Amino acid sequence: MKRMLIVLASCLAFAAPCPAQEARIAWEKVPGPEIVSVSLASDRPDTVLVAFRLEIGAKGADRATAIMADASGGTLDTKLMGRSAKEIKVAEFKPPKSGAYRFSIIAARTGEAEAKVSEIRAFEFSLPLAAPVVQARNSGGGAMLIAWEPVKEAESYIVSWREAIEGAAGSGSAAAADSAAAAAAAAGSGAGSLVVQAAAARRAEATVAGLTPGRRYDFVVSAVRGDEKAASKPLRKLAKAGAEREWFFTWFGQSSKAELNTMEMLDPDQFKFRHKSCTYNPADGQIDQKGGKYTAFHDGISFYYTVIDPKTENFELAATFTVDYINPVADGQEGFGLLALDSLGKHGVNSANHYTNSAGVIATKFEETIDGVKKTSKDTLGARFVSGLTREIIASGDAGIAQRGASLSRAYSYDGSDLIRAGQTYRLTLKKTNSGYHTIVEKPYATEDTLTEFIMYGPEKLLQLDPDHVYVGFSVARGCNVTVSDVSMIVSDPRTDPPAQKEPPQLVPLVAKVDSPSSYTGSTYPFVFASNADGRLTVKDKDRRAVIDGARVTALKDFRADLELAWGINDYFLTFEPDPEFRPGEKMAIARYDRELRKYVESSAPISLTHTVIYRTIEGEKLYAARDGSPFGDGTIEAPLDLASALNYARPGQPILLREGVYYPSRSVEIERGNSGTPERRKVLMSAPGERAILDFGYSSSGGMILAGDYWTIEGIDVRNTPENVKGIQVAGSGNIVRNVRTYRCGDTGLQISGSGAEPPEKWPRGNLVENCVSHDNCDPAANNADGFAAKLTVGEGNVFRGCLSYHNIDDGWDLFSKIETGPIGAVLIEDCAAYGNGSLSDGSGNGDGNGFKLGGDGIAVPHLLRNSVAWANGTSGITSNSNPAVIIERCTSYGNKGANINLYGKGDGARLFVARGIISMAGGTGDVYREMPELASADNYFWNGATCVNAEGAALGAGIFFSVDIAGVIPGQRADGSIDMKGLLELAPSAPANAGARLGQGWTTSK
Amino acid sequence: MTKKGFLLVCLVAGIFAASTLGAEEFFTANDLAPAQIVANKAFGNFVIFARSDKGVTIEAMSAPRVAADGEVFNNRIKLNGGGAADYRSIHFTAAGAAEVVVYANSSSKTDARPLAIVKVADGTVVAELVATPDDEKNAGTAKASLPGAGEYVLYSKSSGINIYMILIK
Repeated sequence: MKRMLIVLASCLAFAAPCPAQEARIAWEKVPGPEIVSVSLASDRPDTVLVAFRLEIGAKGADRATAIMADASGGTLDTKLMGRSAKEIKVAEFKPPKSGAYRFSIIAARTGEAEAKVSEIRAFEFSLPLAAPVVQARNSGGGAMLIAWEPVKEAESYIVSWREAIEGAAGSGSAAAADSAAAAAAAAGSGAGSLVVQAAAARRAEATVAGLTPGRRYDFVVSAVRGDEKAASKPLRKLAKAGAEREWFFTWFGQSSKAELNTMEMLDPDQFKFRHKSCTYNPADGQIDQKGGKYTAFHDGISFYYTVIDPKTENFELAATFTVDYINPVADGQEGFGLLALDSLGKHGVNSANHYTNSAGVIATKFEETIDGVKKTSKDTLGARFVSGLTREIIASGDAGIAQRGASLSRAYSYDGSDLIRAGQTYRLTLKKTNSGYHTIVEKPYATEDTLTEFIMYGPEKLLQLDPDHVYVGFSVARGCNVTVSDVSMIVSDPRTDPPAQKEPPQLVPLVAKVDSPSSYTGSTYPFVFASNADGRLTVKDKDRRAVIDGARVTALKDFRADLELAWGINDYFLTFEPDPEFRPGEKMAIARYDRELRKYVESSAPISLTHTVIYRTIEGEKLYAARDGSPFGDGTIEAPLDLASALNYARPGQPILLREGVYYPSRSVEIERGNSGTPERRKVLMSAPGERAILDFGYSSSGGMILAGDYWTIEGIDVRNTPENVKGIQVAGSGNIVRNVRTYRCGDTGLQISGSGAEPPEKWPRGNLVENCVSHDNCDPAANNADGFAAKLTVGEGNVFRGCLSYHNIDDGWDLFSKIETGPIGAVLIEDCAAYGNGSLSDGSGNGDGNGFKLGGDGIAVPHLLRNSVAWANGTSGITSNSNPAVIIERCTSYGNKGANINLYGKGDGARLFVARGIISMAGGTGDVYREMPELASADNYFWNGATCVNAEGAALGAGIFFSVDIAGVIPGQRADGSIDMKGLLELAPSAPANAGARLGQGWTTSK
Repeated sequence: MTKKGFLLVCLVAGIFAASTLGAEEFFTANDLAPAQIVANKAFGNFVIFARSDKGVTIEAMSAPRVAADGEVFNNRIKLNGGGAADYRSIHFTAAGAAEVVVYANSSSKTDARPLAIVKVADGTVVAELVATPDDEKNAGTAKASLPGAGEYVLYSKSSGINIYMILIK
């Protein structure tokens, strides 16, 4: 036994080196394909199933091709099939017509020249004769036009009719109706039949004359092929004396499908029909397959429509929609409604998007920003107006369409109670008048505030692509089935209808303000006035003398004039008269708020303002201010000023020295626009030498520090504890230097460079330097906005952050966000900076999703430059482009961030322009992201791939390149000169590559 | 022991050894009938995790997708969105360290999407693969190394990904 075991062990050892996978069987030894059967699918007589046996997988072929050929062997269709563990595989074919077919299977393996072919199997196929789908329309005078789509292989059609038997609605079998009609025709009693030969036309039709208006008839159309007949369901229709409008069914557009986008007439007299765009599982109500979609500029829809002649017809179409089914997990592209289309999509074409101008009242997803608040509802009722599309604009592609077309969506309500629900009914109206297209929704309980009508002015907007027709009708898309009933279509003549009403203008509230400071240290005061309207300005002094008399003001351009100030208080009384002819834009008007009507109304009434300027200076080489200072002080150490007075009355070149201690301003500390130094003689606010002043806004009602002036230096102070949603310091002016300042525990971002979205980019802050500052533990109430440092939304060129440290802010270390509405900002330089632990505060609270350096937003390209900087232990990315496709990153280190250390991605189709040089990324939570520009991989960049820090040449780096990676234990600080002291943490040892990674204060010089 | 007995033992041991060595294991959508999966469903070693509000769809494709290595796919498993260990995901157990090849595309025509493979026991992300956009012709392929025996789960980190086949080598 012992011997057996020794022998067994040796055999196992001998067997061990066998390959881990089974070797493939040689191709010559693989059995060829064998057709097992060719038969009709039992549930689909138009489908042939070819069952065959063939091993597809490691032990057999790599693929099989099933071939359907005609009787002479010409290939008609092929099906490529892949690996499957099933013994018998089945290929399905839909032969186009009756006849003899031949089926075979070819098996192939990659790398093998010869394929294996099965025997050929013949099959005689008979295309099932389909029953016609019939429509009927009174053509006037007791004649009924019967129409149907041709049936494949039908040789002729029998149209038969008889007077309906009341109480048995559309009843009996078609065959019975057929034969009863024949019998009744013979008996001459309001029945009959006629034969129509099959023709190649798209629609087959026949006219049945001699019907008695007011009586109902059942119509049946039977397709005939040889001895075979396939009869339609009987269609019951009321004969009328007058002619009826013709309606057509079509489906087209993205994601639409023949079997999903359907229409079924339930009662042609009452105009009641079912309109579908999806299938669902009746057991659980979950959606199964979706047909079509509503989008901003094109739709994939089921569409039951009529054709309007825009020159001779206005209309009012109203209908009740009952929602039979709507996707319980709405994706926002499904819905139903009434549409008027400029042009019609090609029937049955879903491979191309059908872009067209349109006006519609539809139920789908709506999204708007109302009063600064973003509202979304899916799905709810609203109006959608698409205009401005021409053939050229459509041909220019998605970008051109989005820029030059207009798609306006307005919901009637964003209330949750107005969401579309299955089982509910909705009454919609779409009207064309000489003014334009009106969309109306009837509300069961309308109130004063209820919106019920939207108007797209200008009926010519839907005559751009097809000037002679407008296509008006009912639509459903994607995940919705409805029953339409109670249809009313009233047509009128534009030539006799009321004339077009002028479109009311969009109201723009008047802005009129003085944009110069309330204190000045010179006698010649640079007065600035700004408005968003043209007009005339008169300024009178306290003696009611006009110092500016009816001067012309141009909208959005600063009006400037020098005023001579008297020492002390100077009061001015302004009157601005907007020009009544002035328009802020096409179809816009200046408006004022009417208190009685409680809304904005168009108005060019004059507006009166007052403005006071205090002219004062204080003697002295420097001015001292202190916590207990006073406006009556003289700025000496013995009699210091209060902070506000010092800021107002310091002259350029006369620094303000703040005595140490904690100041508690009761409101924001503001340096007004116009309260400025010059490049040669700056204004300075700094702590007194050897001391440190702290501005604590914990008792402030309104705000923190706002620097709107230019050429100030703010140095050596702390700003903290601003109220909720208030920034520590906002830098809105230009040419300022903020140095060695700490901002912390503020109710929003610690230090932010930004201007106003209401002002043009020329007025945005530029050329500011933030140096050796620290910002930490800033947190807003929503815990998603307060950053350490930010330069976002409304920022000009030339702003720099250098040597700054940002940590444990609730959102990001740095935020350079820009958005589409305000557009690109000036490129920002961030160098020699560090960001860590952002996303959570120092006490560990916070939900942790903050980035170290967030360098953009909304896909807008701005070449921000991040250089020689370090990011570690941030809650999300260390360094992220945040969809800005143009960021430049040089010699940076990113370590141990919870998400990706480096996260570079853009948005949409624009070019990616990332530049990354000298990156060291290690120990990130996930691999670095730069897949949109894989060429960023280089010898100089050591990216983290999820497991290794490695460059494009395969050279890997380990933690030993740093003096320390103890990101939990080592806390950096500031040196006496204000630069960051990393204390060895993530500082590069001599073994680190010379051309990669950040070296803060290690002698690697940055350009100044 | 006789020579014959020795050879017989070696033969048996050899067979035993060969059968303990792993063969390729695959899970292909080609073998699955079209269905809407709204609760966990096992297919041998592979289990699709789904919920009624986070379902997975198996469907035939109107045109096959062909991978660079020649594999052909006629059906797909649509994850229908971002997933997690307990929904819109596929679990499987590996007998040991192995290479896994995932044939998949993002359900978008333009955006690639991240597909995570995670070790269930401790939640470590073993790999983050890229599902390339679907051009309706080519099947994307991505490979990862499984570090050892255990249960793994595969899911989209955000938005829809269609899986054609998972192959464990």
